[in-house]
Amino acid sequence: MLSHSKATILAFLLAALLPSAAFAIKGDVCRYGDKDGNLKPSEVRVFVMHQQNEIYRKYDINCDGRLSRAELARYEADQQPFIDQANLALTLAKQDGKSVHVDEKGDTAEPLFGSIEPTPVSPSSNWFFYLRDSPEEIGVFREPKPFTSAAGASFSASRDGVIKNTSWAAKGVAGLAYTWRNTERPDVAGTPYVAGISTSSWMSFNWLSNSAAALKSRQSDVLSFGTTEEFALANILGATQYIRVKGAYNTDFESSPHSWATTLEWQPVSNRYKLSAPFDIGPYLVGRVDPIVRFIHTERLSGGTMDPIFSQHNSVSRAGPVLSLTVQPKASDLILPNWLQSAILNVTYEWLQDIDTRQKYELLNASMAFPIDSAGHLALKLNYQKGRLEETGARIDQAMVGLSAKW
Amino acid sequence: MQLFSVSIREIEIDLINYFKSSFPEDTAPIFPGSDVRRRYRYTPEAWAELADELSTVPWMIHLGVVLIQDDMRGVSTIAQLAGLIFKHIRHVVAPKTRVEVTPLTTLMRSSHLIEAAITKNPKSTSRRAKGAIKKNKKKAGETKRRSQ
Repeated sequence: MLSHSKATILAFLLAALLPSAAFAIKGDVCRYGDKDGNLKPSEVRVFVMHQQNEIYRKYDINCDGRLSRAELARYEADQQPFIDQANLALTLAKQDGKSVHVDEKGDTAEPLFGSIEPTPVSPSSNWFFYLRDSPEEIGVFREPKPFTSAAGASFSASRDGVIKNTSWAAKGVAGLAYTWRNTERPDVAGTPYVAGISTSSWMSFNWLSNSAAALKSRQSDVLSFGTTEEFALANILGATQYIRVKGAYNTDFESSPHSWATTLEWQPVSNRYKLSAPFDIGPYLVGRVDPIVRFIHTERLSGGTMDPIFSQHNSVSRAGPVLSLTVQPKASDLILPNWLQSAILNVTYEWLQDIDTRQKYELLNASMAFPIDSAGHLALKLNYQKGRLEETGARIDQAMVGLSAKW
Repeated sequence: MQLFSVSIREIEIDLINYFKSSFPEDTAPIFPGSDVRRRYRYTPEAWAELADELSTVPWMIHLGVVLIQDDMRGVSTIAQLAGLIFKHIRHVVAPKTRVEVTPLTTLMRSSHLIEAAITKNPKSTSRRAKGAIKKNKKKAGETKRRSQ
């Protein structure tokens, strides 16, 4: 073991002392090229072996393009933890009266072993800017999708020569968020601490303008400014207590004020009491109940919206519980085929009461998505809403059935 | 000073047992490579909270490891969770002289046996057994571990 360490140190020292223009491949212990970086004939074998195999890049520390007995022994020693894990997996499967099946591709339904190293994550405290096509939740432990895989805001211009219409459109959400997560470790388990805080300021826009008079009625002009804050307080009454504050000011691109709203929310999360945490429903399904207490204050500004919520007052304060049930299959190929795992059922019931008038605002929202072919091309989507919409107070009793297809 | 040893493999077994008891209806085996975060559909908030829940289970208290919610962001498999816990165990280096090291599982087993005996027949529990529990708890508090 000591000789490997010495050899590694020696290889690094040699690499450091070599002419500085020699080049290294990422993750490779060896350096290549003359002082101008040109590959030398004597390096071809090492270069090819290292380019082709990660094992060589990591273990051929004397850079001769061959794995010596000592280098091979070091590689095998590094694999031993994985062999131990796989042995443990086999023992565990046997204990459950199961066997580990290897398919024709050489894969097992569930990985037997894995690295103990954590996957890289963003820093515990960071600022980030986001530009998306629709609002998405930003939270202490809920980061937005990576920029490369998210759909961004859209801006477009089009000209229709037949009806002589020029159309301009912009739709999206732009925001700046800051997340702080506590990295201080309490000495004793169960000590209350602030797990994290996240804050985000955002601007949402949906603008469509038509130059043709006949299409003026189809224009959109909504501009909203908002802020969202979330506080996570851990180990309080056996749960993490999430407090959320949201505020939104709705206007248009002519700066005419419409309305503003403030929402205050409390949600406990506890694995012990199965609050906002998964629990077993038979061998194939997991469920989750999210209990939330919500307070919303909405105010109509002069000349603003005529939504039903403002039929009696210009300002409405409502409070009440929201309960959501989600049922999903367990996501393991050992339990269910992969294509069935995307099924989901969600039922949310919201019961808010106007603090002044005692008027009730109830809303039931049930949705289900179910894949109907093993290739994952087709899915059946059902949605049912009954009650009064939270934002406007408008009555709704709507059932929708949809078929989504993708190839 | 009494020393106890623990290995990553033992932590993996404890974690697998934890998830098996949390999801008792799941009859499929859990392996070190199993992505339990995905398998049981943990939300980011519930997964983060699991750090506090795991910190209070008896074997974690014996290990003296306290996890925080930020720790959970980069882990999702049993192996990664075991690695995370193992990283936070206080290690000691074995001295050149011979020192007796007891596997931590032995301590856990002995305390469980005594506690089970008390539960079964609390009146008949001898002063000696109670003393042994007290001694074990005290030992656990002072425990120093070394990696295998």
